[in-house]
Amino acid sequence: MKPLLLFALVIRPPLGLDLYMPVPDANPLTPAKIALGRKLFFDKRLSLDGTLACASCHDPKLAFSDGRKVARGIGGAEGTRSAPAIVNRGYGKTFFWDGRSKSLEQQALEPILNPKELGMTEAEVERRTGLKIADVTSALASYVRTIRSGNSRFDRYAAGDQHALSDLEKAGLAVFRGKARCTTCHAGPNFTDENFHNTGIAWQDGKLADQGAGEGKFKVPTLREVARTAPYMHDGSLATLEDVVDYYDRGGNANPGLDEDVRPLHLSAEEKLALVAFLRSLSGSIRDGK
Amino acid sequence: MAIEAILTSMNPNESDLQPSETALESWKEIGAYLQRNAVTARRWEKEEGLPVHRHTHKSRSSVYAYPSEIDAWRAGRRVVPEPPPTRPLWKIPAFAVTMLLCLITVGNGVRPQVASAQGTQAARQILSGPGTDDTGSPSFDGRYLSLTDWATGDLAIRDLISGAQRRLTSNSAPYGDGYAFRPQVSRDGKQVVFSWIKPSGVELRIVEADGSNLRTLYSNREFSYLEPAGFSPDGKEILTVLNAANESDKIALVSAADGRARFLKTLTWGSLGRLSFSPDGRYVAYDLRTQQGKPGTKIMLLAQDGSREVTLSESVTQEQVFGWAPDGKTLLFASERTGTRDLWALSVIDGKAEGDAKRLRHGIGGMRPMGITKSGSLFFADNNGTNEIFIASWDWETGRMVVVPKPASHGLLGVNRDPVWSRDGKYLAYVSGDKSPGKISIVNIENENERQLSPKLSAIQRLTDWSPDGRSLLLMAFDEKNHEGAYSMDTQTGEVRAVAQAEGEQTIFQPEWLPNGKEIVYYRRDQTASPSHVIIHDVGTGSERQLQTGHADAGFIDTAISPDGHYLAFRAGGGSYEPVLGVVPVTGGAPRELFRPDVSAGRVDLIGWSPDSRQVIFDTKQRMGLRNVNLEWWRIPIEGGERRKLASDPLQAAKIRFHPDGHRIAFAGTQGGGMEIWALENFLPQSAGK
Repeated sequence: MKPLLLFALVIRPPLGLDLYMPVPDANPLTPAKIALGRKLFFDKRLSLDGTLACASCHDPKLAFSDGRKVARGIGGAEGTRSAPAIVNRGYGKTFFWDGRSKSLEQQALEPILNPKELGMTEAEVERRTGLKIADVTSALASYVRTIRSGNSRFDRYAAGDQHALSDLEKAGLAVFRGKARCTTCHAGPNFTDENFHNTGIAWQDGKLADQGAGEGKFKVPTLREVARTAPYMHDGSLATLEDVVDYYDRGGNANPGLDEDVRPLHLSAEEKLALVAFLRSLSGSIRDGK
Repeated sequence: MAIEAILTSMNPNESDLQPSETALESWKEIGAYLQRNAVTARRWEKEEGLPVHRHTHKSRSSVYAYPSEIDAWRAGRRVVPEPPPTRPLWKIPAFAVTMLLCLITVGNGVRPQVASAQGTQAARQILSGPGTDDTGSPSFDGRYLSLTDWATGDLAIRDLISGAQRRLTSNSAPYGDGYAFRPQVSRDGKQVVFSWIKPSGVELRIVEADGSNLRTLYSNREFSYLEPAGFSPDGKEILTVLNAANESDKIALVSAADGRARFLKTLTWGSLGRLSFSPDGRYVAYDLRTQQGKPGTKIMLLAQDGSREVTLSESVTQEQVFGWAPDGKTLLFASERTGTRDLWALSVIDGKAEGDAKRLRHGIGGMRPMGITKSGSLFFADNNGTNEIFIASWDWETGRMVVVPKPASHGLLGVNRDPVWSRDGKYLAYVSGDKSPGKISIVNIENENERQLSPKLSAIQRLTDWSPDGRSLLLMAFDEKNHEGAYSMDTQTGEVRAVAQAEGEQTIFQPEWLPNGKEIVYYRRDQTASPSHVIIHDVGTGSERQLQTGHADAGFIDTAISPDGHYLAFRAGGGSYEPVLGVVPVTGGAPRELFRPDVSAGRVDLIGWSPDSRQVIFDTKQRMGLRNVNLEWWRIPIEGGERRKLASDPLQAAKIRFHPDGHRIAFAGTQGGGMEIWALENFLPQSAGK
């Protein structure tokens, strides 16, 4: 038997990310598949009315998000959740805000078939592309794995360039890791623990407007490129980074399932300013397809 | 102990034994026959297969043994001659301290001893005694051992044939520039890489084996700690573990030429165990704790180019990577999957596990791997001492023990800690066991009867106090849902109830009862904020009040309630704060600073109170790398006055507990010798040894 490692394509990550990214044995990365996936990602034939592609909600210009509160599907149908920025999802463990997909291959199919999103059927996808549906999802997943954000000013600072961050941003980093306790959830190279928490956002009018993964819990999103992915939270209800910081500073929306780590932070105005400045330093360069 | 356990396989065939003579009828008799105490006999039975029989018609504790069986067993295990005890037991703790002090001044001879009686599996002692250090690694040819010279903090290398040891770094003064840690020798023996730890941070340094070309390879303030795990087989890269404080562990490969780092993988902080480069340089095997605070482990195989990772083994128990056999296809690891810690081998072909793991050795105890040589010798360290609870009497005037200390831990083996007296002085409780959560043992001091309780907790951090009514014990612990806090355990039933639980990032330390039996006192620290507070917590109502010490921002290191319950002594300071020792009335009122040491006093720690509640006992010591030296005990009156030295070079015990009679003390100490380094040989399957 030949060593399996000989078949693995290693894509050099940008500064700040791990070299190892999990890739399923059943869908190893290949240049051809990545190229096909990229083509499909921008192909509007994957929507029933031919008006939308994956990239419509995951626009590279907006760090693969869409700038809307909630995603918009064919015929202008609005969903209930914001389209997440899909940078560095190759490092993810589960997918969608509620984590219902366990692989990118599985994830890639759902929006295509969702009547409120791209509204297709598997048969129609195969007819239009001339590909088996499994090949479509494998290619899309392969491409998504190549969408990587790194080499931010923070990454350069973390690599030893003491001048890569301003004094204000460094102060913000200290708040991020210290008083604000952001690293409780936003940890690691991708600034997410990939876990689910009730931050109180879904608590509206005395009840949970969205159960999420259960009990109002939603997955912790990456903070990479966060300055480019407004509005924020799973429902896009917070317009700016300042709003997000204010929200956590006041301890979120009290509710029976509120995560115990969400509680008033008592940040000063200067600390909030610094924290937002630091978050902006997480914008770097995004590579895709290579 | 591990070494002895390894040799268990050399026991003679039991069918050859003729147990017809008069039996030894108790642990005491068995111990006496072995010239050991009953504790040791029980441990040898548990860990090494000492032949002990049980009367099945009687209670579980009714044991007997035959001298001939013991003789045969002893003959089989006496591969490495074990000297008879040369010191009375009461000198053992002092001996341990003395040996510790010797670590910094004396070298050590190599005492290799042929181990195999049967020409098969063998353990050879490499080093023991003063100066023995287990933080380094053997060279691939097995001739040299890298180590830290704890007298100076320098990196050193020892020729295991000639016994010569030389330093490869030269501190301007002992620990003046920092100290070396975890040195690893390159496969060709030409370079040594090591952590260099200094007050301002830690660096990865490298030096030629002749001491030339010392340089810093990698340093980064983002990482609070880093250490090398080994060279790649071609010597071009160094497998390195880096810790970003409280956030993550990283596996990296650092270029031995220019220090450039490739970060392979980030893991949850505290989850990464031991790593080992495969001999072909293609993989890194490592063990990974799957859940914080719980024993589940995965053994992973990560491609050195980051292209792939597979799980080689998954267990609900503790496992640890030991390294690769010379064939490059056999991964050795320790596992507790069968109930004891054993040495296992797993065949790994082309990046995948082939077949089931095979057990190579049973009962390896606390064996700590240091490296595997090209001939297949597994170098490992073992501390042949065991932690036991001792009781002694103390003369306050001379500062000396006046009665021989005797082990109080009759019932459990090896790992005992945190003794506390009952308020009436009739009982002593302590934590026992090296596996979470541990058990609570309670000894009746008068008749030495001992019983054990197994509280339903996931982990016991510390046993801190006995309730005033004698009905419960107070513990710092995690409950079964992993909630951290102060818990009360019923001394009869073992039933546990939460007394005060920590919230979020908070941790509760050193809970103690006030004499009223209604309130407990502890200090609470938020891991992400600097102030820590002394809290008086009403157990009935849950209400709490803060005790103002004037040193909240400094953070507390320890607190202790006076026996009469009127005062709290505290030791505050740490990090950038100067240490200070003080007291504050429990009812409130002005705190009083007792002692603020200057730099020359070294480290200061609170020990407790004099039995009359009028003096605070503390120690001072110098920190030499990882060791404490120049230990002295002091007492200082709380009403004012000079501190007075109580003892020099007293017990190196973490916490002394004074009996209510004011004379007896209880403490956890080490029984037995010290660090030893061994090489296990001829233990690999024939194919793996090549």
